[in-house]
Amino acid sequence: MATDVLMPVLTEPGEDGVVTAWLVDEGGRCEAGQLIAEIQVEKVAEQVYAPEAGAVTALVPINAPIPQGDPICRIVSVDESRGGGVAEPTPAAGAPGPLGSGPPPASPAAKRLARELGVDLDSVSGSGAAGRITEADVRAAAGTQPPAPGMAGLRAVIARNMRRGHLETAPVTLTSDVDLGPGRPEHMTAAVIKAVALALREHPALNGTRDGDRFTPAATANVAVAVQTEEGLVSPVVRDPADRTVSEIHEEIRGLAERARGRKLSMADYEGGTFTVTNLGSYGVDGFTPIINLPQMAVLGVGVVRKVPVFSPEATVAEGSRVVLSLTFDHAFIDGAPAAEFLRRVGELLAARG
Amino acid sequence: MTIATERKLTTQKAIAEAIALEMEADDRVLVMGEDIGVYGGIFGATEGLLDRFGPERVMDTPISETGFIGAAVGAAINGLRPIAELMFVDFFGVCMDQIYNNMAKIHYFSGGNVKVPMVLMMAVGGGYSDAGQHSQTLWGTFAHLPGMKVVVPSNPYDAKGLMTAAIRDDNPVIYMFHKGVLGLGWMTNNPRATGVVPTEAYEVPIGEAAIAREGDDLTLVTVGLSVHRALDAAEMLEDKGVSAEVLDLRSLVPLDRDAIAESVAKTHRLLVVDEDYQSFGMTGEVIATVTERSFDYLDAPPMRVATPDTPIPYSRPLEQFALPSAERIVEAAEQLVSA
Amino acid sequence: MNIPSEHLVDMYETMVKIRHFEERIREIYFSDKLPAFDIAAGLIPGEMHLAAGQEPVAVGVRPHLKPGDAITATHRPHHIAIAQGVDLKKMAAEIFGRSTGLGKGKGGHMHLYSVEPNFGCSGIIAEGMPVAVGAGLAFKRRGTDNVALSFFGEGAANQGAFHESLNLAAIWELPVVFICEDNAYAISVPKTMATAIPDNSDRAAAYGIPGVLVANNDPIAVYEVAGEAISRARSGGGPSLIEVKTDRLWGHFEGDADGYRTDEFKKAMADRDVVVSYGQKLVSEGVLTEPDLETIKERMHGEVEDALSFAESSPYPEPEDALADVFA
Repeated sequence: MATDVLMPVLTEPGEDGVVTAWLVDEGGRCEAGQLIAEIQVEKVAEQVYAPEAGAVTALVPINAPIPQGDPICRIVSVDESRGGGVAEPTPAAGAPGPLGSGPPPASPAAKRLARELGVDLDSVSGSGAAGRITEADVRAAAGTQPPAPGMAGLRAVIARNMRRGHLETAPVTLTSDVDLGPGRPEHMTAAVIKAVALALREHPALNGTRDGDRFTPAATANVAVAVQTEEGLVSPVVRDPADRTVSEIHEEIRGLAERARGRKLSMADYEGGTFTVTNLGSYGVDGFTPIINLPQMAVLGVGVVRKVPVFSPEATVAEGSRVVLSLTFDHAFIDGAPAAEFLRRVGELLAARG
Repeated sequence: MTIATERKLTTQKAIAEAIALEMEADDRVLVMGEDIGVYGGIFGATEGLLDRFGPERVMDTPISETGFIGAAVGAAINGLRPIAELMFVDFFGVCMDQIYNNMAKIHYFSGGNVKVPMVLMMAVGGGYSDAGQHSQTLWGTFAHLPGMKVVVPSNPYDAKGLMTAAIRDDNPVIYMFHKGVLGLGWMTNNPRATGVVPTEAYEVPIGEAAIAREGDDLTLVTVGLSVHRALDAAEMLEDKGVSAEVLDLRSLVPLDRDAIAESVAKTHRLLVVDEDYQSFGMTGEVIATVTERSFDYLDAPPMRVATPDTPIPYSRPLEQFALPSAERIVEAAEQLVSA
Repeated sequence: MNIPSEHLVDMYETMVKIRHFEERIREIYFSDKLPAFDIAAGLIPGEMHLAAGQEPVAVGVRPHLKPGDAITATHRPHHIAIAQGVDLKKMAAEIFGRSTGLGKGKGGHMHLYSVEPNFGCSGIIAEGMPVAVGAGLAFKRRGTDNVALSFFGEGAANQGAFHESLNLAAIWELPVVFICEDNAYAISVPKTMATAIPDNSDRAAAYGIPGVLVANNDPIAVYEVAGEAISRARSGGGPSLIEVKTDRLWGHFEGDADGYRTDEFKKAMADRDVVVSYGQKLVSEGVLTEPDLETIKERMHGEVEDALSFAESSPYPEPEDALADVFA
């Protein structure tokens, strides 16, 4: 038994829509009701859920115009789909299994490299067995690939993550205009990261990851820091910064940012983040509404550090500074009061340069 | 490591030397088994010991594996450090209860209060037409059962160091020496069975693998005689422009999973070679480990070259087909690098 | 033979202690498993093999033991462990699966290991026999005058390990005493259907060692025969085999319907209950008085109850402890 899944009709049948993201692989299994694709019609984004369980095949290409009401993929019930039967092992080796139709498979290492280099696997041809895409193929493609129309590579990944972060959480943003005291903190982003890591020790409900409705607290706080690159925003992770010095953290961020811009970050650099800090201060922004970086619980935005006059203990005017911090948290898991307490604590630690 | 001398030994002599040095240093150590005294062991593992230490410490036993291996357990519990030899691993069927149900479990049953510091050594392996009941390796079976360490040296240096470590370990250690790596005069000559061995006593840590040959294009993981075959294959592959890394596990319990993961993280391709039966054994364990830990580093599905799930045949062309040869390894490796 | 009265009394006291322990374990074992017997449920889960009636074999050996002597036993071990002086609290705690048990709860009733006294038992038939041979080997090599005692049932005498062990102990002239508890049934199979000759003690001749039969379940007879065998072993005279015809009053395991033994058979055993008859004998010979029997009973019961309450009030091990102690 096979069922076509159709491009939703949001405007008029026959007018084009596009699939902007596939959330299953060719041949991958899905449950009934599982989110399998994101589509866009006239700039309106919509989600597509599997009408039944089975294996998803015949996925139409990303960004290809498909008339609303036409199939975008097909779900075959499990016994009908081509199983991955492997040939009996001979003394020499196991043979690769038969593959379904659709985009060619890529080896795990190739996928990892493609993520890292921002290569769109759909546009790579595979030289491995049964058309498998290998690392070598990805490297070759990275060298020669022109930027594809529509969203490709890293941008597509960012788009998907941003939408999910926005849609799968109950995001609430609290802002706080924090008095940083006299002078100003050196290395603002690093100082915030340290303050966040310390504050998370006292507020473990914001430090961890979630899977559906289940929250898993993390033993330490690993803080991801948003870095703007040519291709888009990436968030490499600073591991366990709570007990490190601000200068050390600053050096590490610099290194990560350099590697990010040089496309030299590895998979491990992205893994294990439990919280994100994003700083738009250098663009003059005060408060803003950052989006949660799933599967984390919250994200802290940092604004521009403003010089303000303060009274010194001798009642003379001295130079101090203030900054707006913006904490977006998932209200499905965390209430406003605890989130606000966390935010206040971060402010306190920053002001104390702790 | 610094090698004190340039003296060479065969693997067989290295094993006997290790035992002799430990018996000299610690009078709790004794050896027992069939033909290990006057004969010096069918495979020479106890050569010279009877003359040196006498019949009270080098004991020829009746054909009573359950009896003397169980006695080794009892002796180990009661203050001695026995080495028992099971002549061929294939004979474990008559005494396995004492091995896996008794020797391996007493420490656990007693909550750690009772130790069983013994070595059970055994000859393993085929390739010389000794047929189905005298050619098996079977380390997969022993490694699968909890409570006993399992070591499989491939060369003289490791053979001596691992025997020393095994004797000094307070746990039961299964020491499996492949007949083909011993360097015996009456077996087909094997140049890799002789090597430099320090004269003094030293340990090779149990649970630590060693890189027998560095390479970049694929990782060959294996033990025992298959290390020699893998090294031969690596030389052949080099001529074809493929650089193979050979990882000699040396121990199966504990298994050096870190070393396997590190190598695969470098080469991204895995080929496991095992002279034991293919299904439900060492190759499966190594591949499962890599799939669990190094999935994102794999550029091709892992492969294995093993003895098929059939009894080992007698006739030479049949046996040579069944056991992993350098040629089979080369063929699989070539398939692996183009997969 | 003139047996010191303190030995006679000590044997009686130990028999009372053993019997009360076995009765209480049986009571507790069933207390929380019924009405529909669930073997996994309750304070004492799993199998249970009790030795009520077999006390003489264990206590007859007891007065001849010295510290360091090694005993290996079977799946029916309690009477032997108690007779050797294994810590009763830790033994009970192990049976209850608590972290304070001999094996921290990892061995249970069939795998009790004690370092002092030197005791081990296992659930595989005849598995302890080669181990006792090894203990004897260690004692001989180390030059101590300790002995190893291997307890096993008449069913085990048909297992290969029995023959290998006797042969090895004989050829190596080791200080081992092999003690066969013949309770006539190996689970449900009577000895007459399993063993080719009537008395296992006669098998000793096949290995050139002395073999003695104790035809009644009598602690004094066991005392005499064991005393001789043990001192022979201690003085370098080599191994011996002793066979004792004893009574397994209850089923093979607790929960055994025991339908394979006739009511007459069971009644005959109950009528000659050795704890009762031996106590009466000591009274009639003036070694003890009736009030003494009462005092002994109270004292021994008290020790057993202390051990059981220690066990019941001890904590269970943490689940993750299952992973520890595989290796030293």
